[in-house]
Amino acid sequence: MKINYLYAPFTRIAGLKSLLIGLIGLFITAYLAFLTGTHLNGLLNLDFAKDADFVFYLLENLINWVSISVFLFLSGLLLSKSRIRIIDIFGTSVLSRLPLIIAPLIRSFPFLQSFVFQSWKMYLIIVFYLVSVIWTIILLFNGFRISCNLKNERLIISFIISILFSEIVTRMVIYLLIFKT
Amino acid sequence: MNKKLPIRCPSCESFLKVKQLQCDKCETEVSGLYSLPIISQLSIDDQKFILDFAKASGSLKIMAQNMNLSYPTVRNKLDEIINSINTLETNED
Amino acid sequence: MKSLVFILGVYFIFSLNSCSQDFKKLDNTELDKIKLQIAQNFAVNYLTKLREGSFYEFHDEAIDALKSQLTEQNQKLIYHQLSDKFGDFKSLEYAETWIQGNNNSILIFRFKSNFEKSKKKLEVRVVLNESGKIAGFWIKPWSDMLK
Repeated sequence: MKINYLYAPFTRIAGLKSLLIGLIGLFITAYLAFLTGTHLNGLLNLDFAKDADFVFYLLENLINWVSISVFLFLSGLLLSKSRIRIIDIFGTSVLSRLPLIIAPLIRSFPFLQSFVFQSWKMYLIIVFYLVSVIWTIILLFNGFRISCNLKNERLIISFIISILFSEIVTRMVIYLLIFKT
Repeated sequence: MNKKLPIRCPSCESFLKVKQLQCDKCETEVSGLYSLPIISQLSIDDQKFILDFAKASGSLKIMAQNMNLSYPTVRNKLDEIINSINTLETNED
Repeated sequence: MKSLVFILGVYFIFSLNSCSQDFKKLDNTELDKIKLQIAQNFAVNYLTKLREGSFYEFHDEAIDALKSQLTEQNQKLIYHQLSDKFGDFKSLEYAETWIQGNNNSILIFRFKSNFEKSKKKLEVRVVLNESGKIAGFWIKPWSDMLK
């Protein structure tokens, strides 16, 4: 069986193994995000601000991962005829986030630490960020396809809806998190 | 040489049936028209999967380890085979 | 065709750059410490007074346009809106300085401030004009990008 590790590593890696590798990646991404002030507030939202503690950057990543996984799992439960495992969804989802390390990694260069709005530096980071997001979405899609054994319209529509819902939930939870109760 | 049992008609793609069987020892021949068992109508890969699955005591985890594939990939393969079996059974009825 | 796309791409990047070349971030060695102190003292005094229920009385440290904008009533109203959302002002620390203008005459001091209810720091920005008077004052969410 031919395996494309860049886009579909889940033919070989899923479950606990992908969960552990992905969680290590998530912690490293969150730490780099903290050092460089790169907020990953969901999949489609990027902010540049060194304005919070490490825990906050970690929570942003954790909240987005958990909300994506929960919505994908619910879609799987509703639509899949296979006996799906929650650990495969959470495992493949967290491993899919590895490319998101690109934006904080790029911002590690000192000249990309602070810059003017709409400058070429801003656009450079955004281009790298978009590449990482597209890569992550492809990985998430393949992880979901393999974990839930869905095909065709069911797969595509439920994936899009899950991602959109998880984005809304992520932003709401992060907004609530900013303000201490 | 490992000869492959033909399942489908090379001319019209329908499933083939067994017309004649022969005893290797005494050369007795039995003639008739018998359907192939469902397992024989599956692809060679699927047949091998079923045999390996039985040898792994029906454990998908062990199958995944032996095949060096992830658990859901192996489970999806099993689901595909189950679908094929169901389709073949429906066609036979 | 490819070279045309490349030239257009380079032109696009340079035109974007030209939008931002009016601003330059200062190194700590280039920093005017006295002006920084003026900006920082103003920001701390302003926010502390309002936290205590009072208001900041301007003298000749700011331009008239700013003074007329930040009347007692306006100061209290803005602080009330701010504290409703983010809580009371706690502290601020210096972050960075930018200069703006062709002869580098306008200084933009950026401070990170803590408010009681917010887990994120807010930006307190004080702008000094060419004669060293306070010409701008903002409080908004912090961004590493100068907007």
